[in-house]
Amino acid sequence: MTREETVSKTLATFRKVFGEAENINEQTTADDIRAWDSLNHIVLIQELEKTFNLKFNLFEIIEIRDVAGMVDYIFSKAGK
Amino acid sequence: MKIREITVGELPDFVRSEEYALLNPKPVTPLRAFSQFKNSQARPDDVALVFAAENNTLLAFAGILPHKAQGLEEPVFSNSGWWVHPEKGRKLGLSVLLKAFQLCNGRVILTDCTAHTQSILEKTNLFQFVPPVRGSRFFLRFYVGSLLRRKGKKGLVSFLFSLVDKLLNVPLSAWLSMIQNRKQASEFSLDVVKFSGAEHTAFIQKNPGKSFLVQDAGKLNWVVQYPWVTTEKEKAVGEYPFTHKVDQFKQEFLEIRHSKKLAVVLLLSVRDNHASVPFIYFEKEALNQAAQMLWSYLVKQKVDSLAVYNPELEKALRKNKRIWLLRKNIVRYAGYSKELETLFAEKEYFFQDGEADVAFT
Repeated sequence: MTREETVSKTLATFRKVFGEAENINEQTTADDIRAWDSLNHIVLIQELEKTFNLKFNLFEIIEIRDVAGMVDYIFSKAGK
Repeated sequence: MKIREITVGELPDFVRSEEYALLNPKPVTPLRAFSQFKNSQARPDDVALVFAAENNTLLAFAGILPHKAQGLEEPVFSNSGWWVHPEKGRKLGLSVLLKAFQLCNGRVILTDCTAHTQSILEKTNLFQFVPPVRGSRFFLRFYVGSLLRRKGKKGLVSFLFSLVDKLLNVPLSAWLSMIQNRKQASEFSLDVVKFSGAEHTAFIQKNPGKSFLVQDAGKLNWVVQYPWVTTEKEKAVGEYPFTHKVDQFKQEFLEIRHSKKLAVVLLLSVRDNHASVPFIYFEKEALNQAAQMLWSYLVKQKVDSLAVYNPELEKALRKNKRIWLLRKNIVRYAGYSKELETLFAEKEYFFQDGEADVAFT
């Protein structure tokens, strides 16, 4: 999987979880989305796991608070 | 923003520190801190508290209580409180809890969760929950007036309800006392005792039930000597997110003897006139009569209600429907981390009603 594909699928999953109304792009951070609290973070992780058919390490991914970081993390797992 | 970890050994100094004095709200009360420091089943280096704070504002915290478990060298830990600042801590709540989880080496039990907490924790895939623990709250007296007062309604309405409660409770008490005298079996006796000596210790070792956590005299005496709530208003420490001040709190050990032989030992807890049985150890054949004796004692003490989750005691109490004014189903949620899954799969362990931190409040 290319990085572009990872970005596209990640953004689609973010929009599914937080809604199309949120202006989500690669520069978006948790501070930009009010609903991105720690509980929705778990929901997001579950959705990303489904999207990429991967299992993430919760203790690693819980600290990632921006879309770019999430893309990097997923790409490091899915891109291999 | 900083995330801090406080160990059991550091708790007394922490609650005396300037850092603690400035924090608002507080992540632990001095009462809880000193109580945890006295935990005979904890080691000084065991984690007791993880919190996140920024500019002296507490954003989130997770309280931890170490325990000895059956057949295990290493301790297990229960979560004694998880709080998140409703505005400023929403993005941190789970991070703090997971940090605590890691510091406990993933050996965590949950004895008294809400359905909401269970649904959150299930999503982490770190915990396994047992089927909901169902119990009963048995009502012994009318107390609408005091209920209204506790909810802050101190006017004429609560006064009138208190009056009605009193009027209804007079004939009710007379009726309950009459039944109680009729049902008393003379070969049984109930006494309030101090938990001490070889007899009690041997009895609970012989009758531990299926308790996952180690039951011993040190633990039971610690629970009674170091509660986490106070009735002394001047001991208020500032804002704290969980209950720490109550109007009334009493704990006492009761022993029930059958033909002078020890048959039941239990800890009775009464908070604001509502009773619970945090710990009970019994000979099975004596339980029905013991339930009767317990009920008689609660009638004499003019307790408003009794909440019970212990399935055997609950069943024994329900056998006689006439004795309760009303019974209400209650439920709580319990589980354990997947690290402990094989232990629970091998044996049908259960948690006593007051297990982990429940008995302290």
